[in-house]
Amino acid sequence: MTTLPLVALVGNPNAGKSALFNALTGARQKVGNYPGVTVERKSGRMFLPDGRPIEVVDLPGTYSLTPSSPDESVTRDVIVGRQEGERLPSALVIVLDSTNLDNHLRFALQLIDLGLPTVVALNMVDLAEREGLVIDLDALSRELGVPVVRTVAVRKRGLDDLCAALTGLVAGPLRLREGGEVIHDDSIALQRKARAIAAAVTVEESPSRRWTHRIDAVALHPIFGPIILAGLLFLMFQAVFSWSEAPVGLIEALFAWMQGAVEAALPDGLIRSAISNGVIAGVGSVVAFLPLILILFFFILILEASGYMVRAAFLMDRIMARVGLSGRAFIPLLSSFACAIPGIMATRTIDDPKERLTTILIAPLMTCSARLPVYAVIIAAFIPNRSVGPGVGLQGLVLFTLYITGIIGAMLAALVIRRTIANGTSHGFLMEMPKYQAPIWRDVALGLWQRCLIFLKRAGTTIMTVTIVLWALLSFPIAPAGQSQVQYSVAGRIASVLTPLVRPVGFNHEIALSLIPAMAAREVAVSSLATVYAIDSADEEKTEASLVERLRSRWPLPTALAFLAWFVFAPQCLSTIAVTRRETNGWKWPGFMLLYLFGLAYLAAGATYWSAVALGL
Amino acid sequence: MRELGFDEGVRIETLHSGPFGRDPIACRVGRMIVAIRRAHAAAVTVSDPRQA
Repeated sequence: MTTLPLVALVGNPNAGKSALFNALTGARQKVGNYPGVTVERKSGRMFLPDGRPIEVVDLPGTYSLTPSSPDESVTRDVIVGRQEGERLPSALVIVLDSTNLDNHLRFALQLIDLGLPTVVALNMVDLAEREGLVIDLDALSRELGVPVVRTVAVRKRGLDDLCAALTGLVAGPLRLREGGEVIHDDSIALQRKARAIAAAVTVEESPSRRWTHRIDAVALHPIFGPIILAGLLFLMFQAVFSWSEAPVGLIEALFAWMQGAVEAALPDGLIRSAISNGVIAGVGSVVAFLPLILILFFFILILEASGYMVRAAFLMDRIMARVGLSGRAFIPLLSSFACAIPGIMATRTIDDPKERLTTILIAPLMTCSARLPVYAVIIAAFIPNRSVGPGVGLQGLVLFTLYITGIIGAMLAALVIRRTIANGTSHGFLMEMPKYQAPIWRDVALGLWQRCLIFLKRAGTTIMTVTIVLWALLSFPIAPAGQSQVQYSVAGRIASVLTPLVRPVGFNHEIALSLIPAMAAREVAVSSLATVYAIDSADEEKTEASLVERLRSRWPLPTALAFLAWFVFAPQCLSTIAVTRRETNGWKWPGFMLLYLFGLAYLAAGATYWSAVALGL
Repeated sequence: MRELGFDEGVRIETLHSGPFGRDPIACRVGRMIVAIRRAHAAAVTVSDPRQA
């Protein structure tokens, strides 16, 4: 694989690079990471017309060779052959947005100057034509000194020409121009030259971007804009919960069936228990979240592909500025409602390191989908299902309050963090607003498929390991007859040590016990409580309905409310901690995150418990 | 800012402004639309083409 010639796609953001990459490589893609940094490496294989296979890599979009974010550093390092774990590309494909030549040509000139074999893909020519722009291909090729081909990546047009041009290039000798690693960055001169070329090769102009302007007149309207944004977000969260019900049910049924099959096939004993109660139950409880995550990603991918995400950032910038962040931080925080992990990874687009750190630290406060099972069980058990107003139920109101508490907590935390440990002036907010585009469904499907694979891989490795360890902690040492296995186990003993610590905030021994495995993932708290109470009581039914009833009869209301408040803040997710360590390159910040969030969780649970007790609830 | 196309002699037009405190603003710079906070936009010198 590594011996294949490497072709790198480079270009400004919004030039249609990824669409071109998908059109060239189809589903033959691999998503990985560059070593040491957490920038995604997307590569794929394709065949040249003469039958030679090559590897194509889609580099992060960047505006120049002077990097201002980790993504942009990788792009620069790869094309000068300095990136660890990557070979020098045999050829570059510079992707240009035909409607935006004066800006995109500047970066292209910088790249051509490096002296690598290069072909320019003049992308989105259809849009340029619609806007009344005619670009003289020969003149452009002459000015740049490299071959230029027309492409429309989203309609797969011009790909043959591009491949043909590449065939000639990839054969050539592989070397940077003499002194090529020296990057010329006289941006003023380059810009002049770029504009001169753009003006020389572009014929006929007419007022453009009417559509984008018309949509923006509504989408960025001072009154309708925020209403539309709120409406879209509402729709998104509604869909996440309502569309996922059926598929989640199916997955749960599948895992229950597998458990049944294993229990029927194997004799009673440790192995059966390890497979059924450990692996299948544990992995199943996590895989059940796949539909929720995919639906949320579906919306986020569409919002990104259509160009609306930047508008959302635009609308939210002023509010984010109040707590020392910018509109850019809005996008990762929005993703964190699905799961903090992709949210934290999405902070890479924030160029200000202190703002990025702050966003990473507050991302776990956004109510992620893993908290829902916990909230759902406790609310069903303790909050009466009655109406408090027309169309407003008390249960829904409590759930909404939990979401809002998380958001307010995050904003306050950001305010404090930006004034103390990540102190400094904001870099402000400067973003290109791309044209609106209909999302390419094939690319959305491809993106979802990749998320799905990444998620399942995690469930099959990390989460599987954790579940087996937890099962072992709960199963050993084996209790003598007449004693509770849960209490007698290693986990039960650890819980006994923890109980005095959490007693002041209203938690009992069973809660302390469920909080240990919940370190792996929050939703595990529910299944652990179910197990603990199921083993404690005579009947062996472990259904959720019976858990609700058991909780109702054993927990006082203040304890239940404190438990909810705890989960608004508690950073109980190993994957989040791990991804924070990766993104911040060390244990310092994940350590800090654990401390401050557990501190807040403890305070919130305590405050809730004692106020509830004082109110006589 | 130059990377986003703010340069001498480029046509700039303000298109939209944010919902809260009319900040940030969206401007057309050349053929691109760029979102920018007013504090940064203040660094740009513009002259009215109609008066020129």
